[in-house]
Amino acid sequence: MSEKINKQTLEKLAELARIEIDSSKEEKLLGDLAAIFGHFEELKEVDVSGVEPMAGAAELTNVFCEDKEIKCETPAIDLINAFPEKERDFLKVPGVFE
Amino acid sequence: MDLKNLTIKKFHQGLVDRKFSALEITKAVFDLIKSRDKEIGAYLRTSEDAALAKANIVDAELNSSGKIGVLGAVPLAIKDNILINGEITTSASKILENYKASYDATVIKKLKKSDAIFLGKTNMDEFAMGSSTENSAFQKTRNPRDLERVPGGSSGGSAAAVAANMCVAALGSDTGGSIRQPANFCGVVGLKPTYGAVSRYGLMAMASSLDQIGPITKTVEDAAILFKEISGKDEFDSTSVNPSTGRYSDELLNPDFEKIKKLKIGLPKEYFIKGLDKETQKAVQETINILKSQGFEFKEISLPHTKYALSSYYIIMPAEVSANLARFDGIRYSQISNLKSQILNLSDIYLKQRGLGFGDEVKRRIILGTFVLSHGYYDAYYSKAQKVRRLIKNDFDKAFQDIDVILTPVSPSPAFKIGEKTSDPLQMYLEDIFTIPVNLAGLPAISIPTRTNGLPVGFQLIGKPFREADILGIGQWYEKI
Repeated sequence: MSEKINKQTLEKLAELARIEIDSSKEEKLLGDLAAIFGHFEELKEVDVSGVEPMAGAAELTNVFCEDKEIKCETPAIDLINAFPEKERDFLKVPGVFE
Repeated sequence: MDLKNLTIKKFHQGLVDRKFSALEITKAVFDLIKSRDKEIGAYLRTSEDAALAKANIVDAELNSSGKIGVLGAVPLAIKDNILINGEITTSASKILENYKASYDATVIKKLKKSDAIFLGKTNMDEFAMGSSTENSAFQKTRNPRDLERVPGGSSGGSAAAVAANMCVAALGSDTGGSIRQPANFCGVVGLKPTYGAVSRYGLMAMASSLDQIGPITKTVEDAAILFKEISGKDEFDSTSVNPSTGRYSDELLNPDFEKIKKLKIGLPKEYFIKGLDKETQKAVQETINILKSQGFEFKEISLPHTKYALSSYYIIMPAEVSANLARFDGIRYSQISNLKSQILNLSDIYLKQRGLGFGDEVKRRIILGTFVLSHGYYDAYYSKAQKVRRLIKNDFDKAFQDIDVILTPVSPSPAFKIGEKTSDPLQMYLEDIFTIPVNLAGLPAISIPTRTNGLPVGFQLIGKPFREADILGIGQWYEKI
């Protein structure tokens, strides 16, 4: 588990996460991440053989709903009005096809 | 008018006895906010007109019917990651600077039904990521007990507002200690309910398997009142549940102290470590002595995987963060407007809006989460952390076979100076070592001030799932001594 995140990995991760990272902040970020991953090393000591992963704190049970139309409490127009840019009732974004 | 000692309970009694009107108190609170919040910085926004109008309505109702609920006209402060319909809600992030909520969070809906008054939205670490409220994109909040120090975080604005009497009580949210640690730093009470006890609908998600909304109050009794009002299963949050006994009963508000006195309290040796600040240790030990003298039985216990909680948490939480914050794309909710003039393709908009819209801590956690979930590292980090989480929960389950409640410190040391830990994220993360295990295991826990004279120091009581009544009961007992 001693993988360090290097500059290339960081840039790849930033691209995947769609976050532009200011190049002047890269070095500090790499140092912080190295320290954090250094701390994670302690997990190597823990024997987890036969342990089931715990995905949530609630004891989840399936929820079944009747297949019927229910009116949404929040008027759609309120959600549409929250769009920073729109045209008629549509969310406006630049063309995705070049 | 004594705002200092004004609790929910006393406010309600005062209204019923016509000692004051809701309008008088609400005005007095806003006067105090106007003079005091300049130096504290607890509120990001206030809504005075709406609050005064509501106070008038409740006063009129009280005059005509003579009846009023326990939360009627109670002036509350709300953390800015909880949605109030029609109000700007930012999570203290630039990427949501102009976002106006389109609906009420379930807790807000319930409190509106109870006729509570919302004074405004409080400052926090951006998207609840931090332990000092210094990660807010908009302003610093100072600790009312020492203005050179942080109020804790991430619900620092809510805790500071309660401590400075700029509200009667407040709501915060707790993912790894964000209610309990600021309550501890500011000398007030903070309750993190059992996971699932309170609906998360309308709470901006940080780490969905860990987040809970809870009260920050002046007394344990007030925490019980507010918790009872906001708890319960909600069809809009499928992880919310009612306790197996049905609804939370009156024992929350009227504890049977004969029963409470018989609760056995565990002291986990892993929480009373060498690195613990001396004053903190002394204050917590004095609390233990007080409870012992009252006849409570204590037992030393062991929670052997405590040490690994921080690492487990800082893998699981960022993983969930990276997924939850993907929705903030600078297109749907709010955007940084000075980019508008540039002609950008969709991908560039995401990169730039998120690059400029998120602060350093948020970016750090999204990158961290993206890494631990990526192919090739999933098993080594994410899956391993989830297994360690199970071991941590098993430790608690085992301990709770012998004891009913666990008592620990809340934080390793009292409030630190502003700026002291901002450059070293790992140091900041270590603030939460005593609060994080509770979120991983989904348990209820409360931070209650000890009787120390210096900087505030709290103690933490951790209960069995859905046994808020036990920790609130001991807390109410402690308050009476």
